[in-house]
Amino acid sequence: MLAGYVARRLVGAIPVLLGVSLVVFLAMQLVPGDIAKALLGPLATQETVEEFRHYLGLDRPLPEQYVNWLWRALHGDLGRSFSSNMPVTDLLVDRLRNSAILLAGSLVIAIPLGIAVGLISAIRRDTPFDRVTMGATLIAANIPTFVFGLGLVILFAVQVKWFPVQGMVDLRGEGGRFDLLKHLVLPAVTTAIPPAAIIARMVRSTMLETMSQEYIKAARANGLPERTVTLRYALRNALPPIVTISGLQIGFLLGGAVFTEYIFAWPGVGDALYKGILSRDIAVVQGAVLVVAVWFVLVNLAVDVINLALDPRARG
Amino acid sequence: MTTGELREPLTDQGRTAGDVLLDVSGLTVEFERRRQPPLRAVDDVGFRVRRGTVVGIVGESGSGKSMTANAIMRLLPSGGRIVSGEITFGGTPLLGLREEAMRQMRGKRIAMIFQNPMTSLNPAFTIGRQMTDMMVHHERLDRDAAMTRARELLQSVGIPAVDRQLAAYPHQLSGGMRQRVIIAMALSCRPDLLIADEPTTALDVTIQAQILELLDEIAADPARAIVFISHDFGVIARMCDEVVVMYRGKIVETGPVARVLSEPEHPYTRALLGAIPRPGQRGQRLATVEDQIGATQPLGARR
Repeated sequence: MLAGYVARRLVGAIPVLLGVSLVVFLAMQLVPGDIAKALLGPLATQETVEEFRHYLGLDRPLPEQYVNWLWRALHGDLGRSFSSNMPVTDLLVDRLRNSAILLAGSLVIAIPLGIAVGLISAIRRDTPFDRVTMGATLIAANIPTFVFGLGLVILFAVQVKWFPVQGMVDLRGEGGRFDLLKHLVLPAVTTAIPPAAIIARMVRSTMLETMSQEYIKAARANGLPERTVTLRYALRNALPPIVTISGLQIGFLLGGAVFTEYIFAWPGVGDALYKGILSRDIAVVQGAVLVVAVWFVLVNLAVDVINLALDPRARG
Repeated sequence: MTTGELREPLTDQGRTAGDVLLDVSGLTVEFERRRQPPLRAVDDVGFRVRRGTVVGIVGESGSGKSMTANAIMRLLPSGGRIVSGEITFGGTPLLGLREEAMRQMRGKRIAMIFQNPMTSLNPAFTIGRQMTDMMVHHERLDRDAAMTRARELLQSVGIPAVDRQLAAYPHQLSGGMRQRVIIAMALSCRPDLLIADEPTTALDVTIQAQILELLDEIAADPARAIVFISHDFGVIARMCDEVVVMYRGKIVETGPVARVLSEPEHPYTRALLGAIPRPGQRGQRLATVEDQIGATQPLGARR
């Protein structure tokens, strides 16, 4: 049953991905300026530009360009980056690995922190702790990456020099895991805090809702310890919305880390996307957006499968 | 009918009353309100419950009957607190207990059955898991021993195909089955006192009768007592030995159930009895409590 469900969902994702790729393709057409001209520079003759446009396939009608791109993409060929002259697929595989490291780092912070803060706030409802953290999460959920990320850099990299300002590895050092970890801390915290705040708020509200249910009152009347009542009976029932909101944040984190990757010069997908847009590198932008869209679809699917497994009513 | 000599120790339902198990006196519960004086939900309530008997608390919604039960469990909704009074259970003053000691009482010595069987079982856990959780905690049984006892308990409350039900989730059971499970859970640690808060209100009439029969069997244990909360005088008459009539947080009348039913002293009790529809009333407007006592007991006349 589950396998069938997953298969159906994957088939359902195809139109979504087609739509995304089409929108990105059309959006790139709106960018002013001619790529061939930009790449060849101001000294190129009109003839060379035409020739180069033909070489890139830019002289064909738009639908044909799109279908050609799509056909090749289906075969794993996302084209060539105009600016680095590298196959986009190879470039993205590297970038994806780096983004995954950042994503993992920020999840390790965001999910436990969000759940812990939300739980404590729900249990200590209306206490000073609750009021202060809920005020703080409201700010943290909406703080711009530029402000927060650069604030962290100024504090922890410039002032106290605990962590490096930018990059993934120290080029002068020997590299290794510890070096990577040191570079990971600040960008991971920067990307983790807003999702952690959103998760905390969600955990608090669903926990409060669950705690008011009659089966919680019944569990207390049965003399079960408060720990069991809140952490097992209530949290278990509050999980589905928590999984959903966490999944949404995980989805955002891959592509949404654009600014963080830019600030910290973290060579991930977001950074590739940002640079691709600046240099009108259509193939890179299309590839990166496609990767992010696929990621979103997969995370959403995983969320739905987890929630299906969590709900005995859905299992029939 | 029994003779006069035999009738003495027996209650109205033919049960034998033992020593006093629960003694509530002067119980007053208030709820904090914003920019208003606190709301007095239970006002100077006192009654006794003897082992072997069933004491009914009857009254309309908001009369304070459920709050009285919650106060005995010391599980008042947030904002509510016991302002004064004493609750003595089996010689122990409950209000003096520390929270941890009180928690050990709940489920183990005083068990509670809630009104709505559809919402008082945890939807995420199997019946077996929920039943054994309680026994593992209170009786220090291991899972297997607890499961064996859960099986016996479910059989004793008349549940068929016990093993299948133990593995089932609450949504897979009917309302009547769930209420039986809840009753079996309440009995699992052999409590002295069972508080049943409208245990049949959410059930349809035939299931209601079955559950009442089951509670009747449970009440037959001379060591046990039941506090039975209901708004339904018919059910109270069927189940209880004594009855406490509550109105707006206060006790207006108390006594053996047969006496209160046949010769109600208080106008509110008469009104409540008068509000029960009877055959032959067809076509007439049904009486409400306000119709009948509006003149004698104006609604604002509480304090």
